[in-house]
Amino acid sequence: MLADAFERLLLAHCPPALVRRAEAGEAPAALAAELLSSGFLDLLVPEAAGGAGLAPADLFPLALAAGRAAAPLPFAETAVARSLLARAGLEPPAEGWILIAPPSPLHPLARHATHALVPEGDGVALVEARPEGDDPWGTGAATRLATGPRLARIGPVDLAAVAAALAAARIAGLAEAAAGLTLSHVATRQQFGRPLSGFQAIQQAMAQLAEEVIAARTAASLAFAGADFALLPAAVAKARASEAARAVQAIAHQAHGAIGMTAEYDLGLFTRRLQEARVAHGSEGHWHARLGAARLADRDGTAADFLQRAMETT
Amino acid sequence: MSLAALAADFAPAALPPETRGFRREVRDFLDSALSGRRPRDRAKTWTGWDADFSRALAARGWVGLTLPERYGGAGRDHFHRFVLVEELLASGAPCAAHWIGDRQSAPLLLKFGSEEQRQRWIPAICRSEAFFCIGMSEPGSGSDLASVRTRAVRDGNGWRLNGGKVWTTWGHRSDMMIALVRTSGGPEDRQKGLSQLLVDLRAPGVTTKPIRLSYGESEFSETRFDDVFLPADSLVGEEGQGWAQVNAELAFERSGPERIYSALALLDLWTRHLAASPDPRAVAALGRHLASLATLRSMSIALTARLHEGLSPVVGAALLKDLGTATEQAIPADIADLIGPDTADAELMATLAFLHQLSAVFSIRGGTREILRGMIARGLGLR
Repeated sequence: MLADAFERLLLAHCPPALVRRAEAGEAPAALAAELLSSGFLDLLVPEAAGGAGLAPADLFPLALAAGRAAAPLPFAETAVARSLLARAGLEPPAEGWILIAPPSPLHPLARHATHALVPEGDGVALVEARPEGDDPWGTGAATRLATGPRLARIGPVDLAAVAAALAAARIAGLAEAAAGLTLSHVATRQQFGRPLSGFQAIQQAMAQLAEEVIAARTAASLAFAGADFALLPAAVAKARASEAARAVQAIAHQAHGAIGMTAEYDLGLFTRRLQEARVAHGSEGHWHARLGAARLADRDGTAADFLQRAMETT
Repeated sequence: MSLAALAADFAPAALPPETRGFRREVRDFLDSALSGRRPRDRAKTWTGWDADFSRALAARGWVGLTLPERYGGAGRDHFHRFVLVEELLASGAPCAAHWIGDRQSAPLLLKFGSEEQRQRWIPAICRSEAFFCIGMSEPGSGSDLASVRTRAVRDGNGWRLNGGKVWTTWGHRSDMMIALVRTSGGPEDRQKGLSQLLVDLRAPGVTTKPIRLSYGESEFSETRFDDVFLPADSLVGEEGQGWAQVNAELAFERSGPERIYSALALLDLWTRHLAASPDPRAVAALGRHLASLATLRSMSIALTARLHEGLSPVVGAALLKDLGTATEQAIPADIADLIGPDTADAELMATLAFLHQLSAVFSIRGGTREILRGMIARGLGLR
């Protein structure tokens, strides 16, 4: 299966040590080369343009896996950007790593990106981009992008919706990774003569952790269910995933105790990114307000009717 | 079960397009059957008893929707049932009379009952001629269900039943109970020695009375069994297998939209209220609940797909119920937080008062929050 092959590629070429080196500034060249030659980046590109012609739902497990591995390159973002360019009859930049960059206080994955899709008038422009400003969580994000002149222009795309959808999938993957470490930790760490998992307080917290991981994953999948990344499913995805990010990082750290705060242990790789991804491209509060306003503008029927309309995919 | 295996229970699924026409059919019926029903009454949904409504639904073939036609069912799939239940709950239909029989008793009898039991009871459930309840909790056995003391002993070809049940939903209006009772051993034997027995609630020696709740409603009841004689064909399934049989129902009981939509009538009433005065904090709270509901609905559809595939996602259903009831409880609690001094809407206040009081039960009925989280932890291999 596609997702399994992708997962194997990441296991081999994107271990935590590589993530740490990328955080320190080293370009993940080998990982980039593997991904570029793998064909995964053209998953959504139409077959006529040399891609696999698959749908966002097929990209979803790969976007999750990239999140789980804390991959330091904008993989899913580049895959979507390449399909948007291809559908406009344009060639993607060779060996380019392309961010989806609507206005945001933070652009995750900017450190090793080369390009960005940015809003321009009522359309979207492809520009060269590099990180500027701060990287507040040390994750390779940037508070600003320095962009070059327009290289290409495509028609209207709701970049905020695309960025929110992809960020939600990244959160869902990161949450799985943080939860996986936490579940192993509580099963092995002994205190008071038994594993932490023997305590009811820990068992109840782990159940909540699993609930949040699955809610994030389910919410994110809604944004990938259609032919395109529509606004309201993306709003649900980023809102619920961001809520989960808040809960997961808190539960994971609490269950780990002090060891979870250390640089040598991997938990921080995931929880720093959960915090970073939560505030990028609209935190839950932003998307809650958008969703509430959308409902007030479309008040026909019950909330269940509204959700069917809003989440309906074509 | 790993976290990944649990996540597989929630692999995304969609309602098949052929359910759309059925949804319109149900909607048309409900629009006329429930016109003029007040929001505070709609808020009762599956805790509201209306035998006439249940019979009208049955006349359309919508009770026992997934049961085989040879037993009076409609032979439709679980996706159609999801659509039916979603429409019933979203419109605030009073479903209590047929709810338990439709959701649990009939599927249980189909799976474990004798051919005679199936023919006697499933068509009656599908016609809303027999209303069922489930006797589980006892005065000394709540979450610790395996400690039940109600006992049935052999008496000739039949059984003699003594003990009592409590917190049975609508037991005082139901015709039949499927009770989990001890048929051998003692409370120390725990899950061993428990069996499920059909009890005619009009038999001599059975007394039921409603339990008055602090907010005045009485959907729960207390039942006493004093030397009740049960005929030979009262045993459902195998003697001593009651625990396993009860557990087989749990995926049905906990995976459906009724664990998501209990506060929908209030949310909708409040949405109409907000349209006139959209306070930004309130708009964001509305959006938060909608995001949760959209996620929960998708999770419930995913579990419906697993049921359709013949699986029994018991841990997934526990997870959905715990998350779903948290949202159901947050809706009245948050709306209460956002009521300002200029909120003048008597229907909103009455509906809020009803659901805010009722909502404590959401995370108690059908498995408490703590029991569900314990099941999830066990599912994750932690206990």
